[in-house]
Amino acid sequence: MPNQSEENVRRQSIFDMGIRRGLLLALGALISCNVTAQVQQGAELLGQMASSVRALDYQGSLVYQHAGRIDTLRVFHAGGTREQERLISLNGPRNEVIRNGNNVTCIQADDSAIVYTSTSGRGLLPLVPEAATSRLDEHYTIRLAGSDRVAGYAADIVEVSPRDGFRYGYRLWLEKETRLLLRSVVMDQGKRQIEQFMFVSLDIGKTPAATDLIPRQRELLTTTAAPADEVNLRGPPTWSAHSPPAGFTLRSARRSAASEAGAQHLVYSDGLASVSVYVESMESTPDLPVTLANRGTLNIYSFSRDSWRFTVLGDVPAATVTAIAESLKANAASRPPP
Amino acid sequence: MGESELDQALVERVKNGDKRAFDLLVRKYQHKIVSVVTRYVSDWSEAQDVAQEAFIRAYRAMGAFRGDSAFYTWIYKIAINTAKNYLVSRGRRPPIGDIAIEDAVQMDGASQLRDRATPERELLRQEIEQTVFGAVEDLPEELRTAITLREVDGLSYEEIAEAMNCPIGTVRSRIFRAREAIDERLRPLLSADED
Amino acid sequence: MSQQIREQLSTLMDGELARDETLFLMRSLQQKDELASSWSNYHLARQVLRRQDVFLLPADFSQRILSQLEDERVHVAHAGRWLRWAGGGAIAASVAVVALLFSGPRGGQGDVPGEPLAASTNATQQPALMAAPRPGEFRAPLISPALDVQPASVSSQGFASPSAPIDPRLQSYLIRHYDAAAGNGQSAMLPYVLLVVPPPQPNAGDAGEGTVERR
Repeated sequence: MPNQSEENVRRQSIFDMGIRRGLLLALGALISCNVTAQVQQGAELLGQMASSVRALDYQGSLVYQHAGRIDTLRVFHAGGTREQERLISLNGPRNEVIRNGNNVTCIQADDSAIVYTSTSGRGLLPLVPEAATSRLDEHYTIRLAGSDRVAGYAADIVEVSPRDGFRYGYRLWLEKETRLLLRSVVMDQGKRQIEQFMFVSLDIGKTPAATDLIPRQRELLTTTAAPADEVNLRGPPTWSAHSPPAGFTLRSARRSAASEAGAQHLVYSDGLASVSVYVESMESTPDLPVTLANRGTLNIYSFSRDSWRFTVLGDVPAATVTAIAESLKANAASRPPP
Repeated sequence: MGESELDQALVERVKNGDKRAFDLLVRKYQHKIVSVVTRYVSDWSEAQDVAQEAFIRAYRAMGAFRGDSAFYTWIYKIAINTAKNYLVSRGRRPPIGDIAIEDAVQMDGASQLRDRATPERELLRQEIEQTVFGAVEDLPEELRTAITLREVDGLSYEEIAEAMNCPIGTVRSRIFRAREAIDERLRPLLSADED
Repeated sequence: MSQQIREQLSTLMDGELARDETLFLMRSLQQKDELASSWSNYHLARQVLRRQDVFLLPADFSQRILSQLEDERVHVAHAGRWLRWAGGGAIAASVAVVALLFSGPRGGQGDVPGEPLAASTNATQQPALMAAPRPGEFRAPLISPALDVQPASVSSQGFASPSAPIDPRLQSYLIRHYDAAAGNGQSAMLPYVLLVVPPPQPNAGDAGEGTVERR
C-alpha cells in the first residue's frame, strides 16, 4: 500500500534521522567527553603537581627568566609533614629564603633578615587541591599538549589557557611519574611569554643534607614556634572588591596579628591565580597618586583614599589588579574589627 | 626580670624602631664583642671596625631573631662570622685551633690578645682596672657588699636584700651609689683618652 | 632628676626595673647623651669586677654604629608597621611603590639626588620625590638615571659590598601574599622566588625591567 509504505518510509527516515542524530549526539558526547576528560585530567594533574612540590624530596638548579633578565637559583626541598626548603640565588647578591615548618626566613646579601610565621599550615600535610580547582575550566581551558624532556626527566605538558585577559596562561611541564613541576612558562592571553623557569639539573627523591637546609649563617635561622603573623578576621573585612573580574572570589581575609586597628590583608583568587589586597591606615592624609608598577608577571596597584592606603598585587595582568583595586569599597556599616 | 630577659625586652624595643635600645645593647656588649673579634683580628683599628660591622649585621638581622637563643650567644656568633669573613676577604686565615663557641663564651677574660698595639693603651687599661677595684675598696661596707653580691656573685636584688637583711629599695639604692662612685673615678680617666 | 634616671639605668642593667619605669626611662634617654655614657661606664665596671676583658674604646664607638644605621630600620614581616617610622614621617607612597621594585643604595643614605623617574612619569607629580627627609624619616630609594648602579658599601673599609637588598616592604608584602595564596596551583610554582632573585638595579634606559605608570 503506497500510504503505508510512505508512512513507513517516513517513519523509517525519521528513525534514520533519529539514529543519525543519536549517533551524532553520541559522537558529540564522545568528543566532549574527551575534552572534559582532558580538563579533568589536566585539573587532576595540577592537583598532583601541587602535592608533589610539597611532598617530595628534591634538589636542583634552575634558571628563571623574568622582566628582561635571567637568574639562576638552587633549591633544596625536604617534603612531608614538616616541609623544609631553601632557595638560594646563584648569581648576583647572595639572597636566600628558608622555609622551616611554618617559619619563612629571608636573608639578604648584607645579612639583613626577616622572618615570618605562616598561618596556612602548609607543610603539615601535602596539600589537597582545593575544590575550586575543579572549576578551573570556567576560566581556563586545560589541555594536554604532548611530551618533552627537561633536566633529563620525561615530562607531560599541560597547557592552561585563560579564557579572558584577566589571567595568565601557563605551559607546565610535569614529570611523568611524580608530576613534579620541571618547567613553567607564563604567558599573557596573546601567548607572549612573560616569564619562565626551568630546572637544568634535578635530583628527584634525593633528600637534602641537614646543612643544605640551613643558611650559611646558622644563627639567622629561626626555629622557634611563634604565633602566626597574620590571623583570620573574625568579622567581615572593612573593605572588599565589589566587582572583581569573573571567577575571582574572596578566599581569605586576615589581619596582622600585632596590628593597629584596620590593617587587613585580603586574598582574591580564581583557583589558580591570586591577588592580595593590603589595606592600611595612613598617619597623614595627602592623597597619593595612583601608581601601577610591574615587574615580570607581578603587578602592583597602589592608591589612597581618605586615610587608607591600598596595595593590590599579584602575578596577574595589570588589568586584574586594576579592576580589583578600582572596585574596592568600604563595606556598609562595617567597623574595623577589634 | 633577669639580665637575659632584659636583653629580650631591649630587642623587642629595637624591633619596634627604638634605636636607643640598640645603643644600650651596643654599649652593654661592646667589650665582649671586641674581645672575641680580637681573637681573630689583632690589629686594633681593624678589630674595632670588624666589631662595629658585627653590630651592624646584628641590627639588620634582628628581624629574624626571636629569642631561640640568648641574644648574647646570637650576636657572639655573628661576631665570629664577621671576623672570619673579614680574614677571608683579606686572604688571611683564621687562627689555628678555632675556638668552639661554647668554650669561647666561657673564655671571656682569659684572652691573650690584649691590645698590645701601644704600651700606653695597655697601661691605661690596667689603670682602669685598678681604678675600678680601688673605688670598690674605698666604698663604705654596705655599698661594697651590695655591688659585690650583684656583680661578682650574680645575686638578684631580692636575694641581696635577704642576704643583707634590708629592703629591696635599699639594695637598689646601694648598688646605684656604688656604681656612681666608680663612675666618678672612671670619668676623668676615660675622657682623657680620645681615639 | 638625672640622678633619678641614672639610678633607673643602674636598676635596668640588673633587669630589675619595673615596666612603666622602663618606658619612661627609654623616652628620657632620647634626650640625654650623658646618660648613655653612664650606662657604658656601669657596664665597664661590671666587666672589670667580673674579671672579663675590657678595652679602651673610643667614646664614639657606639655612636659610629648608630650613625651608619641612621636611615635603616629593623623590618618585620607583619603589616602596618612601615607607614610609620620611629621618629615620624610618612613615606611618600608613590615613591614607595616604585621603590619596591627597584633597589638603590641601602636606605637611600643621603647621596640620592631628587631625580624623577624616566619614561612614563607625569612630570607634574613630583612633590613627594623632592621633599627632603626629616631627621629619622625614611627616604625610600629613588630611581634616577643618574644614579650610580654601584651600590653603596654598607660596611666600613674593605668589605665586599653587597648589592642593595630587596626592599623590605616588598618582602613583607610578598611573603604574606605567597603564604596566603598557598593552596592555589600558582603558588606551588616556586613561591618566594622573587624574594631571592636580585632585584633589578636602577639603570638609564632600563625599560625592559619593569615599568611604572602614574594615573
